[in-house]
Amino acid sequence: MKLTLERNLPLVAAFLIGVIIVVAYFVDIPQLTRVSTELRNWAVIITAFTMGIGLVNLSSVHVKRIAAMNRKDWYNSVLLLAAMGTMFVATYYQKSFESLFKYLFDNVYGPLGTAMMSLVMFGMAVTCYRGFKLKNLDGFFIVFGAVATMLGNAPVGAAISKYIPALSDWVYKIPNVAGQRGILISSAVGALAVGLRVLVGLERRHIGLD
Amino acid sequence: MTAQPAKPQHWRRIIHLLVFLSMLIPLLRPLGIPIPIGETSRAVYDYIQALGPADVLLVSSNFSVPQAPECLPQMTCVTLHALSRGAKIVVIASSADGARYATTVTELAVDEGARYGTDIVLLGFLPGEEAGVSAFLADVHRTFATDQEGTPLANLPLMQTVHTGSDFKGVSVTTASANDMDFWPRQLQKYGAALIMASQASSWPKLQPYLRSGQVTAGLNGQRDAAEYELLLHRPASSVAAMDATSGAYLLIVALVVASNVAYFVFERRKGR
Amino acid sequence: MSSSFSVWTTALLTLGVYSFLIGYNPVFAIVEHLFVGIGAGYMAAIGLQNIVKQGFTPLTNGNAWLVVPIALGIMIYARYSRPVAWLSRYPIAIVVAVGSALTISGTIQAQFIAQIQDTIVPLTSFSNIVLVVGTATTIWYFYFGTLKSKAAQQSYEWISVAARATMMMAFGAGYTGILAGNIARMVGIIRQLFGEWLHFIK
Repeated sequence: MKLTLERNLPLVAAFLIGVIIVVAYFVDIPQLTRVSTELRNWAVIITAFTMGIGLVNLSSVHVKRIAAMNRKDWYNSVLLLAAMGTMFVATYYQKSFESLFKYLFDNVYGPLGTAMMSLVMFGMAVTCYRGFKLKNLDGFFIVFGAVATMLGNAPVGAAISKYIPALSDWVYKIPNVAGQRGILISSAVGALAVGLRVLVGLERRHIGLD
Repeated sequence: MTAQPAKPQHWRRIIHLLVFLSMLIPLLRPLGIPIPIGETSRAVYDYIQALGPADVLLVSSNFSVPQAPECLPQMTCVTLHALSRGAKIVVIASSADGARYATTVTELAVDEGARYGTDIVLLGFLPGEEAGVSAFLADVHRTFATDQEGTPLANLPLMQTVHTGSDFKGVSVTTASANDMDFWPRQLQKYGAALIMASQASSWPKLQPYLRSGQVTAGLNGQRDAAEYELLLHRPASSVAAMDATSGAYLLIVALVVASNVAYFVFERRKGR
Repeated sequence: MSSSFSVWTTALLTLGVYSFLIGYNPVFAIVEHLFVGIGAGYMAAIGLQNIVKQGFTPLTNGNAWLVVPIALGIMIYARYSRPVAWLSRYPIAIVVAVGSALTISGTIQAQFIAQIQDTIVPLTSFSNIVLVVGTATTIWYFYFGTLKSKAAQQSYEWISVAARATMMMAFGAGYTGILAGNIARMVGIIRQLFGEWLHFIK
């Protein structure tokens, strides 16, 4: 079989590196452990490079939008690129732009992120009204699990009755653990299977091969 | 046949308004509902209370800006409590946003009297999630040659005693990621350090199997446990202030569930017969 | 009312986000683009700081092997040029392999043995029975829950019912958790708007 630089050698490299790390975990050989630690540090450095992909993608898309000049909201693209550039400089040169960085993170980015996520609250309240109906057995159990833990999660539950926090704790510690543990073990089997398939090269979709 | 315009759903707007009012009114007029101390926050408190000057705690900040209302008070309480017991703290961040909050907590600790370099060190952001944590626990100095400000670790007295995961008495991870709950116990199991997980409330159910099996020593459940911890430390802050409004919101949600079921059984099922 | 520029910025941006409740509109689009731009700039800067700190600085201090991960990291960006896009397969394959190897190494003890050990409890109380039966039926449901034959489905219906009951209670508890997070966020926002900004909350 011809080993090609484009298709096969990435998988061979991945296999060798994966085997070193797995063997080093189970077998205590100092030289192998040092190599394994070094390889993990290499993965850290490579992952740091991936953090710029968002910036590159966004720049590409929005520069094209501005250049095309056929969109009504082209100014949003200008704003996005300006914000991106400003925050990049303020973060990288934090010592020189400390107050700008703190202002952008604490007074712009933080509140915007919090507010955007909090919009879900309104939808969730509507879902509670429309979706939590005792139509069947499944509906009963989901409502029971949700209501018991809701009242236990707030001080008002203990104020209404001392049994509410106890019931909430029981739901978290027994049926929730049973369900979560079943899901955990099942997904761990899946993760092991996928991990082994990745290492031996049977799973290749993550690198764009079939 | 022309399409009919959608009927305006005023009832959605009413629910939105009720949600808003259920939180606003208790903030304007506090109800004073007592906040009982639960066993989960008590367990974390007791663990940190038992730490001493010979102990080093690793604090990992792994949450993003939307989770800051729940997670930042948790991390602040654990860090300041541990420092008050004389324990030493090494701070890292496993998420990019978490790096900012790690800096915030370190600055707060120094403002309250901790000596940087001796009592607390901020190493900074560690990319790579499980790979990063695994590499860090195997060889701290190899992964971080300097702290966040660029000071070589050789110049920081605290870091002379910390080289691998075995040198930490405990690890406190403040996290919004369910992924952390899988890989932290996996990576820490060979080092013997206790694991405390302060999580956002949505990850709390997923943490329960690990708490029950003892792989996680103790945990904090969202803003509620943060409020209880603030009371245990006699430092009521944002979490305590939010509890009445939280109670109001939950009461509204339960009322909506009850109302929808009453409407279902009285009206919809009757129509179906 | 507050006179602080920071407080006004936060308040106006928050109101801009909440304008979404009346529908997608130009104000929301502006704050949305602002958020995305700032987030991307921040992430890229943090990433670059780490590349310098953990890559280039030790490289210039004598650790020549670091040329390899730095080169691999740069190769990720080859994906933007079609003729050399295949180069990006190397760093991605390596990072995924490292993650898979770490998962394989630790999962057996952490996610299997420890969890199964904790499930083996004496069936002497209602809670223990729920725990054991719930866990076992949930695992069974994931692997055999979609049996094709009607006869098999009927024979094992009680297992499906027990598994679904367990999972529904777990999902209900999970829903509460998500709700709790959103309540915490909204309370923070209301305190910020009505307290710090408008001074209605003391």
